[in-house]
Amino acid sequence: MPLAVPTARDFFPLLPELTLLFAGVVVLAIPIFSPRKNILVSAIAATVGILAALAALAWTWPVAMHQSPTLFGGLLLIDPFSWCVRLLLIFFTGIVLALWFTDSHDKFLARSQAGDAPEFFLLLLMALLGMCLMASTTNLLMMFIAIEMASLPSYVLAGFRKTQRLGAEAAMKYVLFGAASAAVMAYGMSLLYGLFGTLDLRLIGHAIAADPASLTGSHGLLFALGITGLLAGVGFKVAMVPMHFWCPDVFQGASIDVTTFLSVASKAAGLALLMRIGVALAPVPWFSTLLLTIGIITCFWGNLAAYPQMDIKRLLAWSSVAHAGYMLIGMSALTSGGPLVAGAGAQDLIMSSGAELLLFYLFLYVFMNGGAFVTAAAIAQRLTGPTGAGMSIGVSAMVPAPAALVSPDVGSGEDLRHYAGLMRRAPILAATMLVCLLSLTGIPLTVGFATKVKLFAVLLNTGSAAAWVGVAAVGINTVIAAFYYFRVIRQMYLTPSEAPPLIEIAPVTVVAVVLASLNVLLFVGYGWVEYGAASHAWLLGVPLIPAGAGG
Amino acid sequence: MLSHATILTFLLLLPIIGGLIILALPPGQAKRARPVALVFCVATLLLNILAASWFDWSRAAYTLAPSSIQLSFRIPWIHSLGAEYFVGVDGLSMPLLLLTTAITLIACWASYGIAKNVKGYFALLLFLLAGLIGVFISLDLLLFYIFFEVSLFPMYFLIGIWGGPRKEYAAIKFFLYTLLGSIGILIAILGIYYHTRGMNPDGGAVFDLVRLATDPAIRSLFSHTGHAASFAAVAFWLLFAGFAVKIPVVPLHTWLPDAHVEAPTPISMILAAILLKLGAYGLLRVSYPLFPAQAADNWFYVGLIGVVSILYGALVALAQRDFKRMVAYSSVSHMGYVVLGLAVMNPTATAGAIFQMIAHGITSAMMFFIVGILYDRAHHRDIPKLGGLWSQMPAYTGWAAVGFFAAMGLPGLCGFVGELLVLLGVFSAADGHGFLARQSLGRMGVGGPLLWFGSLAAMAIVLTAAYLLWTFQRVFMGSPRPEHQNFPRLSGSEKWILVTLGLAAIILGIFPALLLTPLRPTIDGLVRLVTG
Repeated sequence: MPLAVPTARDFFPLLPELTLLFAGVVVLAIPIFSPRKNILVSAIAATVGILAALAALAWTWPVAMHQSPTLFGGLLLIDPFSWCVRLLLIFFTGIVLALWFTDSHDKFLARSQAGDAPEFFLLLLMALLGMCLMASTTNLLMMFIAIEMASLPSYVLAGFRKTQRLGAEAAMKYVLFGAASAAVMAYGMSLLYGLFGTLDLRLIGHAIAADPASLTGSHGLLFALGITGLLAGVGFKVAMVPMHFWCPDVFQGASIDVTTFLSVASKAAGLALLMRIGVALAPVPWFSTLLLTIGIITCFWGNLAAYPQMDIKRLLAWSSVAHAGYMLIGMSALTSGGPLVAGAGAQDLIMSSGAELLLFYLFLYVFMNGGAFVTAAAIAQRLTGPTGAGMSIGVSAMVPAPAALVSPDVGSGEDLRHYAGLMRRAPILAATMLVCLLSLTGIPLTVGFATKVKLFAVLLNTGSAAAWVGVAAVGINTVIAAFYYFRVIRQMYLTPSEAPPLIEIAPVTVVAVVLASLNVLLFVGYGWVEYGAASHAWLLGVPLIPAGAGG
Repeated sequence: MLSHATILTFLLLLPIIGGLIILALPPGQAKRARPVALVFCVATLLLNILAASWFDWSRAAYTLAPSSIQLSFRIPWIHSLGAEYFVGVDGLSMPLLLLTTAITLIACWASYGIAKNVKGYFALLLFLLAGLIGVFISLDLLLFYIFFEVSLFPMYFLIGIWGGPRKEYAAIKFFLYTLLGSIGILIAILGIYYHTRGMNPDGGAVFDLVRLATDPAIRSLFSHTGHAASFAAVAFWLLFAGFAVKIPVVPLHTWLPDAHVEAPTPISMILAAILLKLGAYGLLRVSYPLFPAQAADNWFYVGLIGVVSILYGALVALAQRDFKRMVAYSSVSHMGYVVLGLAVMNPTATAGAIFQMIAHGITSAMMFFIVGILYDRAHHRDIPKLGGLWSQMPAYTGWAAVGFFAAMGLPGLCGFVGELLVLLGVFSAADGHGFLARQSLGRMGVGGPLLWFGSLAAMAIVLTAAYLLWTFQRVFMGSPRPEHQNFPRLSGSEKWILVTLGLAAIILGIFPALLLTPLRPTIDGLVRLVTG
């Protein structure tokens, strides 16, 4: 079909993205008018941009919920699912900014990187923009653009601590891995286009549903190859095995606000995109099993690899790999209602229980993982900060190994050895970390248990035998994961330390406490979160344009 | 405010509020933590007694029918799953609830020796109390599971922070054993969810324990001919394994000696007196009512596990040099009687099992306290290095003798009644009043195994007497040792705690009817439900 000329109606549902774009431009323009390069102005501009984007998102809610338009000739889909994922992404970036204000702000000043501040926020906003687009498309071309748009700023963000070796190394790994997976993805996409003559996955799914026999023989092989390439690209964002190798290095090397951002936002966008791919390709008989298998491998790998880590950021990085695995397992319940393939010309919203699980899980994961990372940042700040005189004394007093073992470069406050005796040294932060870790383990009274229950319920509702395999895998992984989460808890609560108490009262502690307490409060509000997730778990299915006319 | 509907919720909230108040005490006021905790423990006990006075024991038939549940309160919680906040008590949970609040008060009283991080200790103690109360009052399966699991955490920290030299190992071992067990329980719960989906008017699954046990549709679903029969066979063992870790039975018991040896004295008391009961309570509340047919099928294996636990626990206790380890293994042995009593599930044996739960709660708390008093003075628990305490600490020895004889099951003390009833129940089980009435008597016959079970369990009483008397002899008799010369006499708290527990053991031993009469309707109802 001829590409329709975009009209104003096409732009209205994109108001949040446009706001982000505008905010980025403003952030970039600030140094021109503010020669002193006041970093606070940039930060405030970015925050205002995020708030404005949230407001714009709220404004477009009725459109997404009731009209669910496809924009630009099917390149972008604004349905309830996309709306909800974008809400999560933008909201979470707000939390990252709160972390920046309370933690990284000082470090920017201390390292006299003030001149870089506008770039930092521009990159953050543009990565967010790319992630928002990732959540709203089934078009292969748009997918590629969105993924790259999210990735390129992320590479720079990962290496933003230019003076530090680990940061530079992390960024380098990230770029190389990203470039390779992008190339593979483009190759896979080209195969899919060659097979079906369309770039829209929904049309591909439609074609497969109309003619299941088309997946046999060499056709099927090529299709599987194409899908493999596509998944390599998306899996890179999700950090699913085997595309996860960048994850621990990048998470360790990047500054903690960037790590926090990548650990949730980047994964969320990737998983949302994968969900879209899954629903569009639901007619492919093995796609659900594929997601389940990858998910099981991913969570086992992540949990086993997390075990020996001594750096809290690396440990949480592997834990986030494992959680992506859990979500993938749940997402394998692709659809649960609505027409899979509608009659010609009909545009249908498909209810997906996998998407419901994903939204439910992601929303709560924001608080589990976000809380853990913010607390880790707070602990590091208090350990190394100007008021935390305990650092050097603490090392000599409690670490039997020579202090030289502790890297003087980065992460000195992120080494688990310094967590000894935190119960006494910093009771509030130890408690917030405890709550977040229990939540990540999946212990009752925290949202982590809610996500486990929901995950099990979604799996069992599919009624398939494979679901029990998923249930068993998650059950075993919960016990494996308890080992290493409890290693941190043991270090904080059971290992004594002679080091003096830390001064805990700081803005970042407040953020950590708020996030941690939501881990408990939202558990009580299970029903509301679930209602929210269920009412947004609707994805656009087959497009309005007649089959065969796309591309 | 305080009404029949809300009293249990207040009972649950009171310790939580107390714990939060203790945490909020300013650092300089840490000394106040113990008095505050004591006040809240007393208040909880009083509230519990008030609830008990509102409780109609004659109505306490354990039919799990709505009428037998008293002081109940329910509000929907998770619509899509069908889970509710549903609390209530019946004749089974009320005695255990009283045991919990009473023993926790005594343990709190006994916590005078805690010097490290006092605020944290007493706050955790109160949170533990809240978790335990939650287990005994929840009648929603998911809620039950949540409290069951949550009560793990305070225990982990109480052992891990305030414990002995190998506390970290003991704490994580305790934690992982129980976590593994509860994963099994969770999977069984999920299966129940899966099979009862849509049976709720809301469209959710059924988590209401009363309905799960009494609804004819669900009962037939899990019966031999129901289409969830194969699931039910697996689920019974998953639940059994999960609860058996807590009881604990051989071979899932190895966490227990470590946890007990490392835990501080008051925590050992709670662990033995209450936490071990959670497992048995879980069997009585969940496994047997939900899967009666499977329980009847497996009576032999359950009974065998019980007998093995009785014998193995007693034999290993005989070999211990460490006083506390000896008491810990004796717990394994004593809880084996509970399992054996449940296995045959006739009125006599069930009454014995429930009585044994309460009696063991009293005697084990007393025994651990006796060990604790000695350890405070001698700073070791090596039995061969002790001796001759009688002449140096006569009052202590006197009360210790009460504890030893009560644990041993001397007639006139509480340990006797439970074991006797279990044995009577086992020997009379073939007469058609329990599970075994419905068992095919053909192939193997039930008489033989029953005779063996009963005889071996009865023989174990001799072993119990052997290890307890031998220990008593080595610790208290013999010539006085010079190094014990300076042992301080019993302090006021120590004496009164011993007196309280000792009197409880004597009273229940002389008047078992105090407990058995009110339990009668409950036991009849339970047996009818499970075997009917």
